[in-house]
Amino acid sequence: MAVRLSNDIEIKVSIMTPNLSPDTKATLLLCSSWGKKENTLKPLTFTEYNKLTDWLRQKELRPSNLFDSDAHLKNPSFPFESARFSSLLNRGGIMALELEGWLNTGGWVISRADEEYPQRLKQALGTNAPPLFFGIGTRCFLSTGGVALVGSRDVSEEGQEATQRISVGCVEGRITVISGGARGVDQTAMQSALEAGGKVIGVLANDLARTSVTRICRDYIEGDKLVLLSPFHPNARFQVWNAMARNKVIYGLSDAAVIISSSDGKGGTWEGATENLQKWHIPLFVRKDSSLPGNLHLINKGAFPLPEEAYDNTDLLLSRSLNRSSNTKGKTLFD
Amino acid sequence: MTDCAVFITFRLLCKSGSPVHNGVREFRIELTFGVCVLQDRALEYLRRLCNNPSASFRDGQWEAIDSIVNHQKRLLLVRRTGWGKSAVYFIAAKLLREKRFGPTLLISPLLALMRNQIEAATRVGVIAHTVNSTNSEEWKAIQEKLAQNQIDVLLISPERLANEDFLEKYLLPITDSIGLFVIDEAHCISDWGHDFRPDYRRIARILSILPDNVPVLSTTATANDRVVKDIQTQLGRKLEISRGSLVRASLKLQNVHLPDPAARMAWLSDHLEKIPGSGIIYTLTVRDSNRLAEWLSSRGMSAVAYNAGLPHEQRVQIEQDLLSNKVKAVVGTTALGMGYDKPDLGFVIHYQRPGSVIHYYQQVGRAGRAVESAYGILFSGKEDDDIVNYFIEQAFPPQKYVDQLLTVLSANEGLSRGQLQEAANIPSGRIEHTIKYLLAEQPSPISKQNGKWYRTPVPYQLNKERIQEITKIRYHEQKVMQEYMQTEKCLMQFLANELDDPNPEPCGNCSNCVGKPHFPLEYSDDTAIAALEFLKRSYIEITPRKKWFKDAFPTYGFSGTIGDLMAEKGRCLCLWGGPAWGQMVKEGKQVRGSFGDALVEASVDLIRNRWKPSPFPTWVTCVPSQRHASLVPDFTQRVAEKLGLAYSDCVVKVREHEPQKLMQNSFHQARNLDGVFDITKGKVYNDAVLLIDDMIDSKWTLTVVSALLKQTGSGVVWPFALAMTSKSK
Repeated sequence: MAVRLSNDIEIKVSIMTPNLSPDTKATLLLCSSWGKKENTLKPLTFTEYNKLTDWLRQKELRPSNLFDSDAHLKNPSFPFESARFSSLLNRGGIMALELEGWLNTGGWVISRADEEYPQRLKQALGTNAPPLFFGIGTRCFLSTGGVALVGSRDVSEEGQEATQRISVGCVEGRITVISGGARGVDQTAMQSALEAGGKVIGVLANDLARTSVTRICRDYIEGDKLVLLSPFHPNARFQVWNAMARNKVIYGLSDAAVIISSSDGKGGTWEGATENLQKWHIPLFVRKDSSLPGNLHLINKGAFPLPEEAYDNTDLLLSRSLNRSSNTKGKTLFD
Repeated sequence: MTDCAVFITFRLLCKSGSPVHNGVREFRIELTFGVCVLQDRALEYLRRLCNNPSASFRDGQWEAIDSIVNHQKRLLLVRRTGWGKSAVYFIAAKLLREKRFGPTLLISPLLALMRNQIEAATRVGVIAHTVNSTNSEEWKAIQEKLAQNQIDVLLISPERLANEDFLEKYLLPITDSIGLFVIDEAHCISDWGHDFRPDYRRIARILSILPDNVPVLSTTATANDRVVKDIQTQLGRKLEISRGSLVRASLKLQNVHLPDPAARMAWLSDHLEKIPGSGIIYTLTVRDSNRLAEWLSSRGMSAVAYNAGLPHEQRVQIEQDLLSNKVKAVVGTTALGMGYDKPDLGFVIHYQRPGSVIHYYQQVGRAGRAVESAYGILFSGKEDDDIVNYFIEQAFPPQKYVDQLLTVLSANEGLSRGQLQEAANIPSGRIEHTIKYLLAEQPSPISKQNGKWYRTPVPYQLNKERIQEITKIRYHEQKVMQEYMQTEKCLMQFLANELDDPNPEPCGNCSNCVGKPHFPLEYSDDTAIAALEFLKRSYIEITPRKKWFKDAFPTYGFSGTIGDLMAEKGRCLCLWGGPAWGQMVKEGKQVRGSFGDALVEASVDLIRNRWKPSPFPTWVTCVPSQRHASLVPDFTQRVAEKLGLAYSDCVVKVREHEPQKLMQNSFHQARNLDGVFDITKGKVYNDAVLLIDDMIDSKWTLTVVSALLKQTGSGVVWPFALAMTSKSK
């Protein structure tokens, strides 16, 4: 006699399906490169994506509705060539193949349409907020602000020391440290904060996947102390323009920023800082160092000189504000 | 065809007075018309595919094609082998290509066996190519074709798809769109405790990321409700299921319980030629496959072994020989499995009882697809439970291996496979197994980047509860098979019932339905005696090691290839605990403390009459044993005496070492022996020598002692051992 398998020994398969919302899938297909390297098919530029979201909002649609049928793409008011959109949206198979590894080693992806997308970033950057983020680690302190510590790759010993002091100061003041993960000031800031037991957000421009399994990052990510994110593909290599685009995210996530060292008139730190002064208006402090004309120049342009007391009392950094213009007010939904 | 439909609609539209109102109606006309034309076209393809101008769709075939091509559905086909699942995916792939979608990605575990299907596909103009580990020389050309969009179906194995390098360097750079995913043998997504296929879990994850606008077809011939439900959980709720009857009318089943291996061998020898056609005999182990094939050949039958131990070319040749009925029987393990398509297979015999109804049905279901009658004969023997239990117990890595591996990875930046073996004291096969298991976890605590293994930043704990649950199910499945052996009801109905066939009925064909066995249960005594003799005479070859393990022998200074110091090909009398001699060796070592005369006789017979090493040894020595100081020397002296050769105790132990059985992998087994033995110079002769040990496992002991003997000036070294542990097989 065959005995039926009783219910109590049925397999309970606990699957952690990668949490990728349909909107995020659509955004990934529209805004990223997948598969074929030499491709005439171009993903949407930032401007194009914003144009699309404007149109979707008008029609009361979400990005995922583009999967429903061709009808939306063939709508006369649709602001793009429909063939290009069909082709972009048909890359789902290859995207899934490429993304599986990242998602199954703890990585995640969020898009501007997701509730978990850091609201603070939308408020600070408005339509300049990246449509997508790849990331790894807890997302719970992404929107709680913090202090950005940034600076050049090559830094003097004095700069190095200042970085460590202010970083540890932030930890003592229970302030999250936000930085870019580059060699020099960024890495020193992040490492000192982590070693002091603080929380760190690393906004990377390249090599997210590789960085996430280095020994130091791995343990802190697992311990919910470190979150790494990037607007670019987890395997992206270093590109100057990516580094530039990444800078605004660092400012956007922060309550205030501290420049340890900057070249004069050029380089990532300089470009990011001047862009912030013009557009994002996050309170910006610059370390006074007479040997660094870049630093002095930024102060002339309107940055606050970093007060000596701030090293021991980092709350000072949070009490200043720059005049914010009104055009960066965040929109809701996925814009 | 779509163009044509649009054209007609357009004309209707022009005639109509109220375009908006009629637009709705015409849209319907266009759709119905379009589908009809598509169905006609699909039928035409089916007829070309089958090479049969009057073929028509089987129940469910067109519906499946329609839901994939026109509605981008996710569909699971549970249909018996031979129903025509491949027709569905080849025709769907073709129609999707005509609609200008990308190529179909067909993921199947055994692609070499699909050659005849690929050929059939060309009849409907579907260009299909395979990429797998055996045809790497063709990859480049296939890649170019793929880049030029000239391939309609790309067949790829789950292992290949899971290979990061392959994905990143081969597939991703040239593809931007995939029109359809086909997952063959989809039960592997679920059935993974026994038939462990972590790569299928990866497929399930890929499909969960896939947006809804890409259709997915998964197919299987064997899935009970539990498996279907599990597949559904993994592939998502939107999965639709198309299911049909699993009963195969042509199959005549019979079960025979013959506990003794010699009895089964005798039965096969006496009856195999009476069973019409060519077929497959399944064994549970590689060793049984080799031995049984050898036995049947020795009895004048055309039987050949097929298992994972054979090189690819040889396997392909055997498959071809079976297809063209050049052999009577292929004696194989499940390596001869899924996807093997021989429509006129005359019989499937199981020499041992498989672990579950799913496995059994899948294997026996290969017989009788396109012939009026075929036989499925299931034997069970006394060793079955032990073997199946072993498989069940080995299915999951133990906690200690998982802990060891993760600890070692956590303490490092990244480790290559060799570094892992050095850092963790785990058998290398079990390292692979543990890695595979951990990779299947979601999320995975490890990942591979640039050829090295890393610990990922996700917390991990081995899910023991789940392992226990699955293990419980495996034991339950084994129990059901034991019941199946005993049942007096219809055998086919029993199987179909277990597989949750919607409405199984008695088959009228099996030995229970017919009321008498298809073949008599008797066999002749003479054959049985010959089988027993054969079992006693079958030995195992010892292939010498060719390379030293890096950094394992600092004292001896051994490194690189062994070269001149290498032993010759040796012989081992039996498998530890196996039939005939195996039991006797076990008893001698563990209970009696000495090896009996029967073993001496058997060894001498093997060495002198069957092995006949040349140049024949002129003297004999042995490996000094660790705890029973006299066990091996005593046995060796008796063998030497019988052979009329001189005995020399030239091998001495100069350092105590941990028992080899505590050493878990090759590196540690090798290093454990460094500096342990020494050779007494005056007792070595420069002629060929017979080197005897009782047990053989990693072969490192024989390798080291042989090298030392040769270094000291002996002639060629012929290793001989009484028993081989199954671990080393």
